[in-house]
Amino acid sequence: MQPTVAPVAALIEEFAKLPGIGPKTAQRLTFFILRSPADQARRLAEAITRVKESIIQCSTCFNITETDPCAICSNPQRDRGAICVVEEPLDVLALEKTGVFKGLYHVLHGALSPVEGIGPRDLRIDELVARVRERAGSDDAVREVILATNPNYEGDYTVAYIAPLLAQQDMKVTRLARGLPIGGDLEYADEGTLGRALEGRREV
Amino acid sequence: MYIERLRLTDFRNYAALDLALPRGLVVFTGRNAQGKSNLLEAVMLAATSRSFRTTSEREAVRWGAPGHFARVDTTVARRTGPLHVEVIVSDAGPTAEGTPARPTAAAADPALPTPPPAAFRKRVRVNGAPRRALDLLGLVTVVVFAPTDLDLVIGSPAQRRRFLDMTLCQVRPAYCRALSQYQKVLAQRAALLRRIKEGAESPHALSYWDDQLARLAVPIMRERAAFLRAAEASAARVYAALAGDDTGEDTDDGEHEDEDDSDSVGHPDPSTGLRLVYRPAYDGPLEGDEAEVAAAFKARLVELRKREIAQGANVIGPHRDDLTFLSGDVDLSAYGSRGQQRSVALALKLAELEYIERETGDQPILLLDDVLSELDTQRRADLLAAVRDLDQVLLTTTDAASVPADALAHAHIYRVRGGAVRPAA
Repeated sequence: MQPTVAPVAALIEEFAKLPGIGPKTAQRLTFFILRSPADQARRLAEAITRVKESIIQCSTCFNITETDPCAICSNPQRDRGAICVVEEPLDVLALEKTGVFKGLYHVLHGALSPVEGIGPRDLRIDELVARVRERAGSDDAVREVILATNPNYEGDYTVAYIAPLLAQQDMKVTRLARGLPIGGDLEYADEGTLGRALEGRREV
Repeated sequence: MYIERLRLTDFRNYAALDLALPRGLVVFTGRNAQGKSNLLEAVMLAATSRSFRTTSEREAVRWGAPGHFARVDTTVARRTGPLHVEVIVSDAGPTAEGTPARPTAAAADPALPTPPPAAFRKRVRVNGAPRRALDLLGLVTVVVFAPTDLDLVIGSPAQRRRFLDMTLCQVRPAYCRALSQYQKVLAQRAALLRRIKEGAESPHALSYWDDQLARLAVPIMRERAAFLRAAEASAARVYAALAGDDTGEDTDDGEHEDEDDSDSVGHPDPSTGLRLVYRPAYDGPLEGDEAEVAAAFKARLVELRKREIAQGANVIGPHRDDLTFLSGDVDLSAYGSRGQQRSVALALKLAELEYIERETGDQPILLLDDVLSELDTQRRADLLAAVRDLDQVLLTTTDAASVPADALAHAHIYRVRGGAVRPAA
């Protein structure tokens, strides 16, 4: 058998480090690139490099951005009275796709998890509290903070930790509802989800 | 219920097996390391998605299996209707198509870097539809009795907790869910306690985890207590019958410690009955309103705050529970004879069978893994007489002669040799 050439092996190895990519997929991607035109491969390489070189964190909301402040923070159309707190930049993308939320974001960059050694100082929690306090009493005062962490122990714990720090007059602290997925089927919902949906029921 | 058909692909030492199984007593006989216990393990895997072996489940995949996966495929006849359960254990991650990775040129190519270890995966299908492993529990119920179970009385508290959990998980899906969440909360809370001890976080952070711990611990403890209350009568009945039959012949032939024991200590009189006593690490009352019990549990956590932080560990909760076995007021783990301790283990297993049948309305499948060789003649006869009416008993033994003659007379005997199973002529 012909030994594989080192550059090919190196690329397979790099691909295999990506989340969701196993060794087999890594090989397939590598051979796809091997067969594609040179400029396509170059564009991919440049896109990867640019992501690392030109992306920074917004100094206000800590979302990833090319400009500081980011496009959302600097958009005069956005409602400055509402801040939605999320774990990761990807969550901002997901919420933006809904088109429902018109306020600003705050990205924590993770959730509290003692097991993983992630404490309050490892997240952008102090920055959130400062951001809310600074604007208290001003025209830009925050009316509502929505804690949109993931519905698991770490996300819940993060909410339990942050909520008391934000408690102040004339401001609501809310969290996302949890319950049944749209288009879902009641009988297939797991008990935990169904229980939460019952708890969070609302009048019609 | 009973297993009608068992099909194995690359499971342990079975490259391919397709075995139709009858109802009643099924005896798998053969020499050591031929694959007898692997058959029982496969049944257990199909019932609970777990193995009773302590070795890694990853090893379930036959060494050198080309597909890096093992498949256990069973058809089960149940009172509520037949069921087809498939469990696939793979030691290589699935490819994008969701099929297990096939060997590739790369795998055999020494110039290629070793791919990072792919996630070990277990997939479950019930009647062809993918299900979570957790949802499998309770569909097919089993009671496993292996030589290590004979040490239930004198073994570690962890072993006794495992006995409680195995039984309750099969009967109460909510128990199993609570238990699995409880493990996550325990891990987070222990890590937080250590971080507080190191000064990295404030003790205030504990209040959220106290809430979660109490919310999950209380139903787990209450279920355990209720099971022991329910099982006590049948365990005591079996224990009394075994003791009444006791020939004095003990099982640990060649071991003299037992004789020394009886000279010095005097074992409890078996006629004083058997009590199963739950010993939760949390000593407050468990009866009454669940919210109130949880509140009391939380109050106890606050009292224990300093100690938990100093130890960096969760001090109370189901993970520290134990149970003891009393005859009269005498603790059988300390003062029972070896024979009495084994009788208790046997009585518990039979009580477990009865409990599962009562709770689910169907008989569990009994898996007796090489347990006869550990029992004396009388206890063998008692055990097999007690389970004679079960839908199915799968038994392994190196020596078919160890099966009592009247049981053997109506048993279906299979010889297991080198990963092949054939009906005995």
